[in-house]
Amino acid sequence: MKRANILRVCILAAVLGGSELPAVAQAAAPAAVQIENDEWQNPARLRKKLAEKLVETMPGLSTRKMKEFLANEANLNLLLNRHLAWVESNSGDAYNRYREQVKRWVQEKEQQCANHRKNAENLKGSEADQARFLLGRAEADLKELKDELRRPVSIADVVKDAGSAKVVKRICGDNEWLEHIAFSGELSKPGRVMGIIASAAAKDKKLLKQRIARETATATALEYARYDWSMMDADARTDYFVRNWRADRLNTVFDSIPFWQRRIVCGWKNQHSSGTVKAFEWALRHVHLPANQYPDCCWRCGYIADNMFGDSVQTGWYAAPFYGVYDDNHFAFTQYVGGVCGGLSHFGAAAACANGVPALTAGEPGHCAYIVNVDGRWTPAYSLSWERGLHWIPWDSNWTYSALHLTTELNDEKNAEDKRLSNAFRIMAHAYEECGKADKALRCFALAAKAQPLNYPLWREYAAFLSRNKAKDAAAWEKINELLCKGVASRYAEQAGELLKQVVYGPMSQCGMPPDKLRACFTTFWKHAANMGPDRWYIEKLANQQLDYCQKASQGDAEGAAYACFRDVLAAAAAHDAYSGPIMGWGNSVAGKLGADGDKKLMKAMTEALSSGSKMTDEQRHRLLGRILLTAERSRDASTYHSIAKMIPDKAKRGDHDVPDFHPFPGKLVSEGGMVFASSTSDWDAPHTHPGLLTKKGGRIHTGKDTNAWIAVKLPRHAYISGVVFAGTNQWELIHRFRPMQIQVSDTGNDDDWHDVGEPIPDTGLYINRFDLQQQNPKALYLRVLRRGGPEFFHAHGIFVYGKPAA
Amino acid sequence: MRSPVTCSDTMKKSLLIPLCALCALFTLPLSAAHLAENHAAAQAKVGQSGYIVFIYPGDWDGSGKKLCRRLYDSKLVQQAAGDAVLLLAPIYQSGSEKQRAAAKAIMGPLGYPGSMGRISYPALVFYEKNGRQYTTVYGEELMDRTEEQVAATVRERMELKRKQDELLAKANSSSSGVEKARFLLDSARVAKLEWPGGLRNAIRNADPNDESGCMAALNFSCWPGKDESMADYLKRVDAALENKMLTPWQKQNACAAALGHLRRSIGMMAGGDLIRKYATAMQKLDPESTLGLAAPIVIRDWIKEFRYGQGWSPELLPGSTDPVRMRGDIPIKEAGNYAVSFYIVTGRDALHVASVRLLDGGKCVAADTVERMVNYSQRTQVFNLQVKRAVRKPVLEFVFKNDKDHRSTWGNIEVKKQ
Repeated sequence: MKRANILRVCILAAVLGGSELPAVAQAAAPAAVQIENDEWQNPARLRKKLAEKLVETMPGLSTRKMKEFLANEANLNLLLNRHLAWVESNSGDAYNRYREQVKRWVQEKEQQCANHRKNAENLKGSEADQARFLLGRAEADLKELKDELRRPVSIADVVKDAGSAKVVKRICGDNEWLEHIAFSGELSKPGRVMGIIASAAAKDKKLLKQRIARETATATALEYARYDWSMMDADARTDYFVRNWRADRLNTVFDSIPFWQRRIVCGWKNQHSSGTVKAFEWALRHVHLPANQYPDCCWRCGYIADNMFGDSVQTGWYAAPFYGVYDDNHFAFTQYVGGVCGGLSHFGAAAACANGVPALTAGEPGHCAYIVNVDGRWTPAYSLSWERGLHWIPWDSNWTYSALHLTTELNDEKNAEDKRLSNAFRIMAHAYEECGKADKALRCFALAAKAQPLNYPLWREYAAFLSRNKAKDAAAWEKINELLCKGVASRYAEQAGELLKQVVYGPMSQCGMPPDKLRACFTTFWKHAANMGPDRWYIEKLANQQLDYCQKASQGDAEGAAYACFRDVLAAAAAHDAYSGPIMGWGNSVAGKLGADGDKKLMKAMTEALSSGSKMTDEQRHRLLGRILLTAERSRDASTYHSIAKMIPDKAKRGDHDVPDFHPFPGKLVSEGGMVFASSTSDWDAPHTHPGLLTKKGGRIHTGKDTNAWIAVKLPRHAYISGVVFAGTNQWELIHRFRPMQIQVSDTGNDDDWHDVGEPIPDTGLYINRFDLQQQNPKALYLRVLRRGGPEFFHAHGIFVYGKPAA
Repeated sequence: MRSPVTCSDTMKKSLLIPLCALCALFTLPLSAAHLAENHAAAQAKVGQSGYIVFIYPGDWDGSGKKLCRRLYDSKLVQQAAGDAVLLLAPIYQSGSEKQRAAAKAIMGPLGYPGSMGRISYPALVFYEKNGRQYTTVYGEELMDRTEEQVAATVRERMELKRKQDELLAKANSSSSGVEKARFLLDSARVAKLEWPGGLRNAIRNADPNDESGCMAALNFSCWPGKDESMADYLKRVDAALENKMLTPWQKQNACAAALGHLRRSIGMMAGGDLIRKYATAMQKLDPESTLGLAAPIVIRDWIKEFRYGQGWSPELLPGSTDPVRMRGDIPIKEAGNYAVSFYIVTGRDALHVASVRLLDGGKCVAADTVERMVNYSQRTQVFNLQVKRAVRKPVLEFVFKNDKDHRSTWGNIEVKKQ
């Protein structure tokens, strides 16, 4: 039976509710290679043997031939087993490190037990009670660690047990299962992965017969092996999900999530107090919600910086009185005691995972946010900034937000064939390299990139191959740079940037490429990077690294190199609205670090790029900068907005006249330092004065003739709003444009996420309008003044939001 | 405002629910609830008991849906609901337009609980006749429970609501402002129910000068004042513990505030007896609540003995000049001259020792009261004690003069016969 048909039968079975894998799917695929248990004792030899067999079987190197090759399940099985053997043979050091680490942990824990035992014997009263309590904890940990020490680590260990060996055989004969293991993300320590699956299967006889149960065990195994969490805990995590899935208690999202996202759910932080089975069971009962409510659910807990004892969350005393009560249940702790951003975000994300909905926490500057997959969309929650680093990462050493989006697209069912093809070429490349055929290997990497450029690990391996075999071949490095920029930067610029920074630029700058050629390679990125991707990213860091390499290659003329680099980068980026602003801002900061001469040169380059060579007056320049401001506003990119705003003199930011005096609302002026944007722009708009709108000097913002026109402010941080002062117009003949007005707030600024607050002003003849929100005191990051109805123009000279910063 | 949710609620329930379930089996209902298909139909039937909406996961959880349906159809639950109108409504994750419109028709103006509130589905959400939500039953009160147990929970909530309504009725018919305020306050203190709407304003209007003390009780907080002495502050806490207007939960919070203040200001050694006192009180008020559960941990982890051989540390040093006593195997038995040496090991601050006394059975038998500083230029300081007779129960008493912000210092204390 064809693979696709097997898949359909399985899906049908799952849909029908049986969830049993049909017999045909349970049977091993026609294996091209039978791996004996003994062969796993020497995975390097096995990998070589399989590489030779692959090279011998491969009919030729082209996309068409590979497709024909893959049409035979036995060939695919050979490829997948070769990959498994390759990763296993590369894991020897990691296994040894892990074994040593567990031994160390055992020793440390034994020492702790001895200390606590001594204290329990020698101390008196409450201190003896404390020592006994700590001894109990340490002994439980020691028991788990000793159990871990007895568990298999490599596949060679796993196959020593007859039952586990059968499971390994079964995995190695099942292409779909192998593909999940090999290509759903990082594969680390396959031996531990197999060991965890075998252990779960030994405890639950039905586990491997049910698709979702098997996938759950596999996903758990992949993550627990990756992060060196204990097998005992892996068994408990698998049991939790399988048991509750069978009882139909999880969110139905769990039944249909792509396998790689199942890894996020099952791989939720084992070491955190939200990751215990007790905590998960609590969340399943007390935070069981439709998926779209998880982004808000953290707010059921109070943001409490000092606990009931008056101890700050920044100290260990905050949780100390509850040590032994809630330290294995973060949810109960956060709900009953409290927490700040970290506690709240862990509450939200872990609750989603405990219910089967993919979610993860993410670090932001001085803050912790979280991200939930709602209806297939990655939705940031309690997020204050685009500067977020993921706490669960699809690919090692890559904490960027858009990695989630790239991986989503890569694993989309519609890309399954391309992904398989790309991985097949990737495996063939390693096989050719092992057999001494480097040129064929290089061709395979190029074909793999062509088949599916979003195949993230491919690029790391491609670059590593070049470093091993073509370190001084400038053309080869130029080609990988070109392929990566073309294939990835055009869709996921941030991801291309990460790969370039991590694996390409370093060796490329060492391959002997002349400085202008190197610069041209850097510029290639900006030519292809047309879109920002899902959010703003660290554009300046990439540009800085390019600048750094240019300056190193310039052999002394740092200012000249900076000028040339900036000129070329800006010229390439200027074509794309998304990047022209950030690159201008970056140039401005680079100029600040250069001498007066360098600064002038950079400003000249900037003006040239802006004006396409023609001379400009100051006013023209401000208007051009205003256009860039509009782009930043459209993408809600506050960083760029502020860096461009800095380039406009304060005098030029002013509107036609100052805003008259008014009575403020209680609290601080929380809109200060925010960003203004509107439903649209028009010829009467003066974008370069938008930053002035949040100051007493005033500015001017003017929409087009819109239905439901609005003018919004993104506050610098969340705030509880006490009131808004809105300076509309002092021209009586235009007053009809301001009827009626309503304040709305939002946490995301998304079009579908605005909520009315306070009373509308149905009719106004006033220049200064006051919206009193003290009754509701709403919490928001975004606020807008909506002019309902229309189509009509809407404009303002000033917006002043008062309140109290939320966190 | 929601009444505080504590662990004790859960634990009390575990006792209460089987009892109520038993009662439910033997008690004939006065009336049975009305079932309605949608809000429009419910509105025609609704009486004083309002609505109970059984909200189930529409398209995202099979077991919750079945559970909710089963409870909705349960005669026991219906009887427990009195004459409330019962509605069965889905909450969708990605329902179609048609499904959502149908759900909206069932709910009518009764809003779903907000996504930021404490809720989990399936849930039984109780609304007053006017549509105001006053309590919810969800989580462990529904999951893995029998119909009898859920019926008992419903009956309990209806009973509590009746009690709250009675208190409000008494408040409304009361001619005295003070009495009215007290009834209003009592209505807010009915467990597991939301406060009646506009409660604060109602109390303020009834008793503008707060002669009843109700506003003070509502606004109660027991944090130490900036310049308040420890003695004055603890008097305030003790008074709060005797105040009948305060709930056990408020008193527990007063204890917790005092415990934190004691630990930070006096230290875990000098504050030991007081820490034990307030932690014990906190536990007694409600042993199964969050703070009740924390109390034994505070006693276990926050009380330190000062024993010979352990030296000093910031945790042990008092933040005041109250004398502290070192016990343990102090090597002073016979008469003679003894040197008590302080060695600084690390820390940011010097140790300021005002006096060293030797006590025997509580009586001072030797002393050195010349103040000395142990710091980095003078790493060791020796206090001399002339002991004129044999000592049976030696205890060293020290007076330190480090204030609470200058206790970053660690060191050893050694006693040697000269």
